[in-house]
Amino acid sequence: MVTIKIQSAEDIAAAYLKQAGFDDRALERGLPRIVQLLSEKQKSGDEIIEYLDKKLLQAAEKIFPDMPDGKAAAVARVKAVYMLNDGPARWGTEIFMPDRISSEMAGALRENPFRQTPTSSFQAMKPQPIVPSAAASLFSKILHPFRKSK
Amino acid sequence: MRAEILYNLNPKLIYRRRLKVFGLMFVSTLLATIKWIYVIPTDSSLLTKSLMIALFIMTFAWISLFFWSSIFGFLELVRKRGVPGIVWPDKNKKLQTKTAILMPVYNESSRDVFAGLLAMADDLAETGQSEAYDMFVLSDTTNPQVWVEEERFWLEAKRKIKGSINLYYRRRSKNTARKSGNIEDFCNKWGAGYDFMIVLDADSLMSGETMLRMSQLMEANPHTGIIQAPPMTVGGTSFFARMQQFAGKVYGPIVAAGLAYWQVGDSNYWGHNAIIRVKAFKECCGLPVLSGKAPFGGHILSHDFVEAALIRRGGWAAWLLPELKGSYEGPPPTMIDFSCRDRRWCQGNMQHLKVLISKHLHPVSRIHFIIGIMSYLSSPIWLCFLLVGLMAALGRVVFPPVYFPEVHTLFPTWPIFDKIGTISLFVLSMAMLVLPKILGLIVYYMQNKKTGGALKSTLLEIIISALSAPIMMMFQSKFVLEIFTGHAVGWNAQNRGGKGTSWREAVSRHFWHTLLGLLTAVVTYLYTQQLFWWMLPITLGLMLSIPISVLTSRESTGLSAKKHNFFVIPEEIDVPQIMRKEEKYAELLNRDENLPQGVELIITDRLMNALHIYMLEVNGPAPEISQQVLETAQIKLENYINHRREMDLTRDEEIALLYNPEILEKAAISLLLQ
Repeated sequence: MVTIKIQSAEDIAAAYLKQAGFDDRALERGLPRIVQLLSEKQKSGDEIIEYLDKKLLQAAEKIFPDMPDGKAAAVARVKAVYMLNDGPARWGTEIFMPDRISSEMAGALRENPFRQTPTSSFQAMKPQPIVPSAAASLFSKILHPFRKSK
Repeated sequence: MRAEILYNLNPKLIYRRRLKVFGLMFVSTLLATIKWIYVIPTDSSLLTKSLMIALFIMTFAWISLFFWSSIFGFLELVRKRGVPGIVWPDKNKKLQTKTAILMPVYNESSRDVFAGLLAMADDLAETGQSEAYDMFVLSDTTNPQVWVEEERFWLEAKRKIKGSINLYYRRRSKNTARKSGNIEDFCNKWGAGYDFMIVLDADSLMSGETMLRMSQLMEANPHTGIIQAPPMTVGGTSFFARMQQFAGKVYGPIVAAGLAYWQVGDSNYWGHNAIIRVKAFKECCGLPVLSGKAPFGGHILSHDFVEAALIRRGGWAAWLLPELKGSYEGPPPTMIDFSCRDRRWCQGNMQHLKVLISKHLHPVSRIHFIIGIMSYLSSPIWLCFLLVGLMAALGRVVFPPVYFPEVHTLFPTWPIFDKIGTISLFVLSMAMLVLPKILGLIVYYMQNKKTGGALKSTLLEIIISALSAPIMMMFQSKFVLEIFTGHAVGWNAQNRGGKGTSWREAVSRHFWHTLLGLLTAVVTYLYTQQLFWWMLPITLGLMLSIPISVLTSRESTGLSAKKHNFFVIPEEIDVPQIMRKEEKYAELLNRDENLPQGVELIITDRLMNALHIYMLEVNGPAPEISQQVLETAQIKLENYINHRREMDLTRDEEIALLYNPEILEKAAISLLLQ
């Protein structure tokens, strides 16, 4: 697995925010709040990422309750939708605080949920029989008189 | 279902039409065969005679069907009669239904695919009824870099799309049953949400008006399962492609009108540029896996004919409507690309031998299968016909005729060779091949205002297709032989670009054609000079196969022909709006050649990173990936992140990384920490 270099929690959180679409200005405003969120428990890079992912997952559950994405997909969707809606500039780090997500913000993000496909309802097509006609079977019997039929 | 209800027609009219075409085919084949029997030298052995008669019947009947079908097509177009039975609703009718536009892709140029879709969406938006449509890009792409490129262009296209059309994208991780499996997967998952689906090919282009008309037609004809809009080939730049598109423009209309004349509501489906009723498709078109091994067993390759036959068997009508214009596709750029496509189609059509005998199929569906099979089987039949004739002539040199056999007679036994009869049959066959082209040209003059150079282009096309015919005969005979000896074909992406054929490639592909042509020419010249001249059109084509293949593949010769007013079609002078839009969107879509590709793009572009990870889930479970491949890929990725070394990933390594969201997320963050 790719390992996150040993760096300060602040650097790692900053990289995470940048990766979630925060530019320098949004980062400057939002980073202290994110660092405040991190407790003593999150020491390593992997733990910090896991913690922030968890926050985004909670946000996803709140914003898109009817979209049963898996964890990775749900986190990725929130990031994508946040970026596409200019979220870092509009709402800063609110997305990492699920309790503070306003209905206005959730509504705005829901308006463009960035669907890859519509909701599916699986109904499998049945394979149709392709069975030789009686004439073809008769012809086959004439050609192969001693072949046993299956 | 009763024919009157299904076709909205008196069944007698349909029977009369079929009787005319097939009756005339039968009568002309019978008369020509009687003549042929008298033409065969009287001293030929019974085996030779029987073979020559059987092969003649098959070859002539094939030409004859094409001829009579074209004649009736010509008459229909001259009389300006449309296909009877189909109800044409008002053009302004508001749609009450929802149509999905499906674009199945397999390692195609993503820019071209999305430019085409954007153009179609734009055109649909102009009709004011775009809310009745959704678009799906159904990817079976296996090349990881093309996969990421598709995602990138999808994102861009979503931002640029006009009207209220949703543009969806999904990629299958396992492409079971190729294109037919791809469409079936759509029907299984999302089919319930749509009334109709317009199936496209990666190079298909349809005007918004045509797509709207197709949906309106489906609404107005509730017993219709499929409507096929004949696609016109456009956009070719090489000589070969331009010649094909000219031939399609000039001869295509009478061929399509001829087919529609006798097929009426039992038409075929050509796999793309057609609208299908989803309910009928789901009920009737689940394709079985054929028993036995490939090439005859396994998944059905040429699914379109089978789907049309099954939908017809299920009681739904299928129409080919030449009246529908604004339906386009791209031609293969070179003769070799054309033959590669033929190899796939050949195998698919030969597979139909198993389907042809299936229970309860409509007789016309069986005819479609026979036509498909014969379009490839006719080549080895023609080859055998030539070989038998050649052997008979050479046999006469080695074993000269015996004028006084052992039984003592007063008069010698002269071998009778009806030279005039032979020439008249040859002229008749040639006329049956060339006349439809001339009739096509007449219709072309009637239907188009700007027809400059059409006559000289037709003459040149006739000469080049005559020279190419023996080359294609050799290719197709080889394909048929390969298939009957159990060699299946893989699934390669179709080459739609115009790089041209190199001399080296042409030599490797046409070496045997050239050698066979030379050998036949030399042998016939030395032993039977009369036959040498008869066979010259065939041997000449084979001997020149290498230069023909190379020169016709080039864009420069294509452009030169255009400059001299050869093979110019009206669509090149007055470019249709939909094609202009496609060009515009191809320019608008990001052309930055320096943009990272594949995994590199996913870990350097934050939006693409989120998007790709999000889409993995809908695309389905990851394929089985070896741990060793994944570990090697990670080492290369770490080296890239920490030491800026080139990743140089293999295809499997790149796929292993692209399927691992955790690695992709951490790699992207790690890069930002550097």
